[in-house]
Amino acid sequence: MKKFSINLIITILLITLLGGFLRFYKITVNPPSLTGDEISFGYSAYSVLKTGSDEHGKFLPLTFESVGDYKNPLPAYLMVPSIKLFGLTDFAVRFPNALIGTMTIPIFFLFLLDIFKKKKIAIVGSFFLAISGWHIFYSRFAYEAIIASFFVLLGTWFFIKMLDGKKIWAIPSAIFFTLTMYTAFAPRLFIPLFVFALLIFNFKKVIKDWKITLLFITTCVLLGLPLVYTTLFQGAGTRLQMVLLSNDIEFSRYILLKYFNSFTDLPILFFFWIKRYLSYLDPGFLFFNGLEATLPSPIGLGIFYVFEIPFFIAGIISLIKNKIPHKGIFILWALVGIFPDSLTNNQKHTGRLLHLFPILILITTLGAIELFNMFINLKNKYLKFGIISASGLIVIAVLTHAFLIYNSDFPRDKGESFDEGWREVTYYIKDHQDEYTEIVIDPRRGVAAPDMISNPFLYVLFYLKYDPATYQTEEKIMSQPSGGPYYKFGKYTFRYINWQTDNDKKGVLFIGSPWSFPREGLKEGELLDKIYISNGYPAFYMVTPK
Amino acid sequence: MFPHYIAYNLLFADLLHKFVYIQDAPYIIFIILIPFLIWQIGKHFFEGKKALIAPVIFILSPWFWYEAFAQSFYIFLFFLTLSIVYGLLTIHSGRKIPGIVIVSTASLAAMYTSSLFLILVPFLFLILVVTKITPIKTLKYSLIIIAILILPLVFFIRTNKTALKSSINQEIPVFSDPGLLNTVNRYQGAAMEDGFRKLARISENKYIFFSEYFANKYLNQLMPLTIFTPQYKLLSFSFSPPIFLGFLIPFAYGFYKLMHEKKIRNIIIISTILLVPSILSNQAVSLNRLILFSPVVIYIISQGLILLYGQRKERLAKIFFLLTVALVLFQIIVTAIDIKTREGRRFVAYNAKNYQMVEP
Repeated sequence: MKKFSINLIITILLITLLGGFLRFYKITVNPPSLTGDEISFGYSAYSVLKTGSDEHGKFLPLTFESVGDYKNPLPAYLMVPSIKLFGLTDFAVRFPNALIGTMTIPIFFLFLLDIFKKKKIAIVGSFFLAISGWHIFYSRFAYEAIIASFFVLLGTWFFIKMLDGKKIWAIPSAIFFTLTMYTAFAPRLFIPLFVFALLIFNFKKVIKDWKITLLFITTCVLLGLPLVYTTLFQGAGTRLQMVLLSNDIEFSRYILLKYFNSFTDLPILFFFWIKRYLSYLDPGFLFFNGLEATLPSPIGLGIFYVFEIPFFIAGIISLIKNKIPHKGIFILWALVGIFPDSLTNNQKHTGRLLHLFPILILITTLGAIELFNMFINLKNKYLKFGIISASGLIVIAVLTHAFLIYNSDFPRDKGESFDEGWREVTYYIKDHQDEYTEIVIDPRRGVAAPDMISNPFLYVLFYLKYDPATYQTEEKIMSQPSGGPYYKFGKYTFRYINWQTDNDKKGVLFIGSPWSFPREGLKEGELLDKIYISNGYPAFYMVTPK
Repeated sequence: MFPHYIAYNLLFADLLHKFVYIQDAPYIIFIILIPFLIWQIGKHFFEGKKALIAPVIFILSPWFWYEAFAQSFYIFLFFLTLSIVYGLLTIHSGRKIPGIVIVSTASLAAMYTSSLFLILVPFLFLILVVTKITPIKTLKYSLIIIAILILPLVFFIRTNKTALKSSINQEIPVFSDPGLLNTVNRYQGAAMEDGFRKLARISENKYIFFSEYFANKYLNQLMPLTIFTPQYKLLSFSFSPPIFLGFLIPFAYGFYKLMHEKKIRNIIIISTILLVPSILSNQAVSLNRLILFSPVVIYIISQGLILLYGQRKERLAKIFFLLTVALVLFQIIVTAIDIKTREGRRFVAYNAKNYQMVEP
C-alpha cells in the first residue's frame, strides 16, 4: 500500500491545522485566567529556568512541592523551554499543552493508519479528535493529563509494534509508559495495571520473546524507581491517600453512616466501587454535561457531542462484532482505563479519563464508518435525503451550541473557579506598589461566599516576575500571634483583612473581595478600584485607609 | 411493612371529588399475583421449568420487595400492565374469551385509575397494531369493550377538566419543571450579551433542549447502572440494588444474543414504551415507575442464564455462569446484612419525611 499520497498529507495537515486553531485561538483569554495549578507549575518552571531549583530551593526536584500537595515534575519541566522562549506569560504556561494537544492529532492518525491499515479510519479518527470538545477543552490550559494521554498513546502504539515482532520498540514503549507516570496522577495506577494486563493477555507472545520482554520490564522498573522513591519518601503519596474511594462523602455519610474503618466494610465498598465504575457509562456524563464547562445543568457538554450518540453505540457493537487488529488490547484499554478514576472519591472527572481518548475516539470512528456504510447502501433516495438533512441540522445545532458554551457561558460560569481576577490584581499591584509601604491581600474570594484561596502569593510571584533567587533566600514569615492564615515576604502580606483594626493603617494597600470590607463603612476616596470578572460581579476591591 | 407513600387518589375519584385509594390488603394479592403472571407470560417464551427462572429472579430482587412493601401505586399499575400482556398472549394462544375479558378489564382499570395510563394504554395498542406484532383482528373485541366502557370516564372528564389537569400535572410532572426553561433562558441570555442572538435561537431553544433532555432520560433508564446498582435509590433511600449485580452478566449475554433475532429485537424495542412513565417523572430515573419495565430485563436475564448454563461445557460460559451465581449469592448476603444493620437508620435519617405513617 502506498501509504502517503499528497492528498493524504494535505488532508491530515488540514485536520491538524483545524485542531491547532481550535486549541490555540485566544488561548490566553479563554479559559479566562491561569488556575492555581497553572500558576504553580509556571512559577516553578521559571524558578528552575533561572536558578536550577524550584521556589523552595530544591535542585531539579522529582516532585514539586505546591500548596497543600505535590505536583508531577514533567509538566513543569516541559514549561521551562516555553518560558525561555516566550517569557513568564500566560501563553508560555499554556503553550506546551496546546502544542502537545495539537501534535496528538497527526500522531493519532499515524497510529490508526499503522494498526488498521485503512486511511478512512485514520482520517475520520483524527478528524473526530481534532474537533473533540473534550480534548480541546483540556488542551487549552496546562492540564497534565493531556500530556499523559499523549504518552499513553505512544507507549501503547510502540508496545503493539513490539508485540508484532519489531523488537526495537520495546525501549521507547517502556520510556513513554513510564514518563506518563511522571506527568499526571491518574495514570500512576493505570499504567502499571494496563502494562500488567497487556503482558498477561499476550502471554504466549511475551514468553516467546522473553528477552525483549525482560528488556521492556527492566526499562520500566529502572525508570520508575525514582517515582517509587518520591511516592514513599517525598510526600507524593499524600495526594493518593486523600483521594481514595473509601473517603468518598456519599460512601461514608450515606452508605456506611460512619467513616470506613474496618475490613468488614470492604464488601459494601466493593459494590459501591462497582456502582462508581459503571457510572462512567452514564449517558449524561458521556454526552450531555460531563465536562462541567457551565453551571450544573442537564444540558451542557459531555465527553462526546450529542450527535455522536449513534456513532458510539454502533461503535461498541462494531468493536465487539467485527474482526479488529489487537481488539483485546483496545478492550483492555477501555476496561482498565476507568479503573484509577473509579477508585477516587468525589465526582467523576472527564479530565482524569483523558488517557482513554484513543479508544473512545476509535469507538466513535468505527461507529461512524459503520453507519456511513449503511447509509450508502440505502436505496430509497428520499430516505437518504431525509437522513442527511436531519443529521446536518443536528450537527450544526450541536456544534453551534458547543461554540456558544465555550465562548459565552464557560467564562461567565467558570471564571471564578479558574481564579479569574488575580492577574488583574497583580497588574494593579505592579503599577501602584511604589506608592505603599505594605500590600495586604486577603486570600478569601467568591461571589456566593468567601472561599479560601490557598495560593494567591503565587500569582504575585508569577505576574511580578519576582526573582526566584531572591524568593528562595529571603525571609518569609508564615504565622502571626492572632492566628488565621498568614504569609509575608517582601512588602506583600497575605492574611485576613479585619477592617475594624486595619482602617487606620495609612500607606497600606488592602486588596480583598467585597467580603473583606464593610458594605457601607468605607470613607470617600478609600475605594481606589474594583476588579470585575466575566460574570459581571466585582471580585476584588483595592482599598487604602484615608 | 414500610409506612407507605402518601396515598394516591385514583383518577376517577379525583374527577368525582372523592378520595379513594388502594387499601393495604390488595397489595398482598399483588405480591402473589405479579410473580405468577411473570411465570405465566414467561411460559410463552421459555419451555417447561425454564419459565420459572424469571419469577425466581424477580422474587430475589429488592426492587419488587421494596416497592411492594411501600405499597407503591405503580405496583398496582404494574399488576395491570402484566395482566394486559397476559391477556393479549391468552388471546394469541386461542383462548379468546378469557383473553378479551382480561385485556379489557385490566386496560379499563388502568385507564380509570391513572391519567398517565389513560394516554399510555391506547398508545400501546396503537404501536402493537402498527408494528404488526398484534393484528387488529386480535384486539377488535377488546377495543370495542374498552371504547364503550370508557365513556363514563370521558363524561366525567368533560364535566371536570380541572381535576384531569391536576391529575396529569401530578403524574406527568416533567413539563411543569421550570429548570430546563431556566437553562434555555440562561444560555440564550449569555449568548445574546455577546452578540450571538441568532445563533442562540437556532441552537439553544427549548425544542432542542427538551429533545436532548428526553434523549438523556431515555438512555438513562436503560443503563446497567440504573438497574443493577443503587445509583438511583430504591424509595429514595436504600442502598440495595433494584436487581442484583451478578445478573448483569447473563443480561449482557442474553441481550447480545436476542438482538440477533429480528422479531425479538422489535419486541424489546417496542417494550421500551414501558419506560415512558419513568421518563415523564421529574427525576432522572423513577425506580417506582421503571418497575413496569423490569419484566423485560428479567426475561433477558433468564435467556442469558439459560444460554450460559446450556453452554457450560465451554470454559468461558462456565466461568461466567459460576461468576454470576457467586456474585449474586455474595450480594444477597451483603445486602441482607446491610438492611439489618443500616437500612432502618438510613430511612430515618434521609427519607422518613417523605412517607406517611400508617395508623396502628
